[in-house]
Amino acid sequence: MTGGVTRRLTVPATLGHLEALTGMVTGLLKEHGFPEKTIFEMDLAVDEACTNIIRYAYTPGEGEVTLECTVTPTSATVCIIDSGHPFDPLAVEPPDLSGGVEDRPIGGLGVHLIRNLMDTVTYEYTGGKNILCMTRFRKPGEQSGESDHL
Amino acid sequence: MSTILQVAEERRGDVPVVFLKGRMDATTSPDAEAHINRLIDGGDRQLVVDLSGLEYISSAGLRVLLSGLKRLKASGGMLKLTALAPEIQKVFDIAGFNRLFPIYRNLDEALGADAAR
Repeated sequence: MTGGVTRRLTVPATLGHLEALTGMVTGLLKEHGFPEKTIFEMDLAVDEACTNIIRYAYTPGEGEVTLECTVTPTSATVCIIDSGHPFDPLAVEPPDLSGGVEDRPIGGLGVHLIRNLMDTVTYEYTGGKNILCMTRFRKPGEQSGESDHL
Repeated sequence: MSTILQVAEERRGDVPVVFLKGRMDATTSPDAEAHINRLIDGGDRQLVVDLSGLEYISSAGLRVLLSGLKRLKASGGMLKLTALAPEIQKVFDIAGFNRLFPIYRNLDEALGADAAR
């Protein structure tokens, strides 16, 4: 395989479409032999980013979200595009994880998970659209079908 | 991959054990939340949540477990977790939840251990 394979999906921004969004990404990665661990982490990053858009980007029930997933022999990249309110997830302060149960706010972990699981994350607001791109590289030694021992 | 969450409950002595199986995301987590809240509302203070069948958890699932723990701790109770798969454990580690919850390797250990850690 040379270059990359790209798949695109646009759906209404509702929780009912979350499964179609994450399923498109995990399906493509599976077809291209990415390890289970990478698929799990991409699944989670896409879920978190799309759930944020579905919950906060638009007036509930309005708007669409577009997913563009590109796989190459060495990486998988997902770009998530919406036309909602401008929101830069990378500008969000990292959560304070030091406190006890009582001090821990409920929420604010989605972006933190994305940043920790992905190798690169970029954001831009252009032409009235939020564009969040997340890449996970295929690490040396990661083989197709490799078990996911940590 | 499962795209649903199955919630089951079994009493071991006085302690309710909630088994979560499948996928815990923004769509499915409300089912688990309703179940846990029902137990707390009914007076249970010691809960064990068995995650051996859990294949996936997002921050929406983490939120449900944390709010359950907050409610229980506020009234002198505890929520214990058991049998996290490696991928699930990694999500807990990143979120810092490994320091908030008592986590046991299996159900017997969770049921045998003292409530307070």
